[in-house]
Amino acid sequence: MSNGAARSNNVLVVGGGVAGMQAALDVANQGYKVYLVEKAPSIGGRMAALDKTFPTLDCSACILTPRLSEVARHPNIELLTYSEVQSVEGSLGDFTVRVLRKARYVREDRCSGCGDCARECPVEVPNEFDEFLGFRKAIYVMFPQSTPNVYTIDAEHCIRCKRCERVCERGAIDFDMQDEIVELKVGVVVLSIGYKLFDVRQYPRLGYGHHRNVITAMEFERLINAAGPTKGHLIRLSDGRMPKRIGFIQCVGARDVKKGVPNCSRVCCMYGIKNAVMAREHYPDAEVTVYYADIRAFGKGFEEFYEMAKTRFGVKFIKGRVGEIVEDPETANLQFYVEDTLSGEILDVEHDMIVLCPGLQPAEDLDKLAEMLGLDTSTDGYIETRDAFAAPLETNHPGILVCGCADGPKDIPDSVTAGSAAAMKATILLSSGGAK
Amino acid sequence: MGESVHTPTSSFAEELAAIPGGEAVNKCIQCGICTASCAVARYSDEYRPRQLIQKILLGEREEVLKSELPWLCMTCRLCEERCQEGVSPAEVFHAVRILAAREGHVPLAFRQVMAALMRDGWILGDSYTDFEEEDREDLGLETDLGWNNEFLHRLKQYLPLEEDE
Amino acid sequence: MNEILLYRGCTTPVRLPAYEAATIAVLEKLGVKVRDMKDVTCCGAQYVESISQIAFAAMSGRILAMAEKEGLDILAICGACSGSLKINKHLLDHNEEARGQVNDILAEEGLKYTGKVRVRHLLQVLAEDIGFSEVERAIVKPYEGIKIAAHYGCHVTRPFEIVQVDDPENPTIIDQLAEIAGAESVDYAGKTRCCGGPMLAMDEKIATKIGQEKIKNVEVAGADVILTACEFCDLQLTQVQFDEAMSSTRRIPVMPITQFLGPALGIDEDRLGLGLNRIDPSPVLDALQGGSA
Repeated sequence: MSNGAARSNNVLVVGGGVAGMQAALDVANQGYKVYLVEKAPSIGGRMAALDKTFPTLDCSACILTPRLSEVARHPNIELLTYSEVQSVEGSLGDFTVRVLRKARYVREDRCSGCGDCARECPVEVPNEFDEFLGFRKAIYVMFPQSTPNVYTIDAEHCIRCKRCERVCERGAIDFDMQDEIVELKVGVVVLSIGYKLFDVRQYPRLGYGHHRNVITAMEFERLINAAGPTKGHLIRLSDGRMPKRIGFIQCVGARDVKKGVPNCSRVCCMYGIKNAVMAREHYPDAEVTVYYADIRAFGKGFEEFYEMAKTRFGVKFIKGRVGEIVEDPETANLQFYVEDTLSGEILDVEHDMIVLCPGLQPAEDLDKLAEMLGLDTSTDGYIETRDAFAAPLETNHPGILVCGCADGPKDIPDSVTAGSAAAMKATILLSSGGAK
Repeated sequence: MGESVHTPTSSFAEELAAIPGGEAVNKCIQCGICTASCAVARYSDEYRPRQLIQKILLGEREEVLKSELPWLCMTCRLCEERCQEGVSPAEVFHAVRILAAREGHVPLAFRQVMAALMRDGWILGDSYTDFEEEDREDLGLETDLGWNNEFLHRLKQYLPLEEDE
Repeated sequence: MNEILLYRGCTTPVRLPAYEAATIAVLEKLGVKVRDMKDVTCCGAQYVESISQIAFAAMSGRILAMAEKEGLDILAICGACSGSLKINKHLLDHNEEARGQVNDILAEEGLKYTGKVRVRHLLQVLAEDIGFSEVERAIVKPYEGIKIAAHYGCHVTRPFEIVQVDDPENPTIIDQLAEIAGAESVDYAGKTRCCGGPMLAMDEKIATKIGQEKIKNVEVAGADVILTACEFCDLQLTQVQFDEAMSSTRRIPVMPITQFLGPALGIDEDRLGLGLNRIDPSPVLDALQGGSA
């Protein structure tokens, strides 16, 4: 039961990716207070790791980072990073949310992000932000423009040598910090928890994890990114050489009834083409081929981008799905057969690098979150919206909204739009006293 | 190709969909992963699973049923394992063979084996000589293999074959 | 499991009796008594299978019904037989009409299929009914310094929903058994591809090329022996090495898994028919600790 006194006009946004940030900003700009909770040490989400976006080939970090500062500076937004929602009780207009603030062992109010600590730290750990292709220290920031610009100590790998503490001029390191639970009172919750990528190891025939030069699209993004583990040099993981014949394989973990993912993942055709274009940009002499069943270039500028990939950038496209990839033990090159279905010819092709383009999946632990919040999920595992036409942002739980990839795969522009829409829905709910 | 122009029709695909194994043929999106996985296609000039399914989907009933191609599938099922749409070309061609057999199109090799089978109850009766018997004896194995050669006669009505022994 | 009925199939008793003998010896050593099935017919794989679904179902149905009469599960050592029996069992279990039709045919002999018995392929009996730890316990003379390439065969592992043997995309049962026996299993390109055997009926040349491709891939991986779980695969992978296209290369021994396990379990080589192997298996036997018997 909620009475007038218990009502809150605050909004909780769970997930600080591009959709969540948009939602937070649009709510905050209307004068409401927003708590933005993000489980990683920094907001920014998936976009922070990408190199270029499609179809414009904008630098992802360049268009993202202004958003990061806007969110950080906004007087109405309280940023709770390295934090996770533990429970949500109550109802629309009167939710009580318990948030676990994990201990970073670095004081947010003192750290200036200077990096002296990281330079001192003797522990190197495979960097998850770089898809484990590079290393970071046990005290780290995710990427150069991490927001907040505060270091975090990875408790699992920290050896407590305390060299960071000794070198920090501002005394920001605090090994006595504890995990903390804070209780927030909010009126509406917006879930913008993003997505995870299909685990391509579920296709033993494609050789990922075994064939050295078969990589995933995310690994490719980090390799071509100037802020990545190779400073933007696209190299083969087996020998560091520049690849000359790169193949991209689409529909890995999408449109596959056998792997339980019959749905189309919406963005992979476009990100695959974008990556293929980038491969040609990096190596204009390289042969770059995309292997596909269909190319879905449905959005604004998408078909033109596809055409440009073929004509201006010289990317080859073969309409044929790939069977089994075989590695040459000496050269680490990759061979497979594919039928060019437009000509009927069976091709025996060799590449020196293969990029698997995985489909999108519901975010890690989405099912736990849905259970916690009493949300329906659909057969594809995403959060079910109340009505695709009449209520595309609402869930079965009044006051809990979704945007971004929480309810299905989306690209960046659609995620941003959804974020804005959710913000509007949220504030309508608040200003109308909770009435739908 | 031929002199007459073929009018595409879905009736053949529907006919096959009614035979167990042929149900999923309409799900094929012609992606070619079956052909990419098929060892027979690699070494054969004519056999291409995807193209054969395409002919089925286009309704080329006579050509497909009279052709030797559906009998070239060696039932290894790699196409079935990899098809992302849940089509099993191996099963589809199996359904084609059943239909083809009903209409009297069975390759000679199969008819020859069937003749031996009907006669002996098993396939290698002609190959079981004294030498093989001796090997079995040395190994301590039963030499009288005890095959039943009369049950199959009761199945003759279900086997559309001419009596060509 | 104490006892099982062996369904030999057409090919093993004539072309690879050593596989039959080795299997019986190994299973008995591991505590499973093997009884022959008598008065059965061919399973109808490939040939009857392609011509009539009802005849195919009836042939398997009869074999299954006869096993039901004995109250014992069936052991199939040939991939094609295992596939036929399992696929038809699946049909008869789920399709009332087919079951009725087949039981009408079987009634004339007083037989009936009610679905009581299981069909087990050799690999299932070893890995599940007996179990890896039992096998490990029984090893008395392990191998040392030998590399094996496991060939599973298509009908043994596919279609997974029906046969339920191992992971078809990444099978490991033979590899695990070989490692328990002290060998090292190597991965090779195209491990789950067909041996080409079924192609012999329609086009021997293609069948041979397919088998030879497999042999080449095994060679590249550096294996000393190929282990099989189906006599058809075994014969095919042996046969293609005698084709003129491969006459210059050193031949790789091919052995059924039970023939390979036998010496390691302390079973006398005479009972395993090793002398009958077309490609001399002595390089393999020499790798037994303490030398071959």
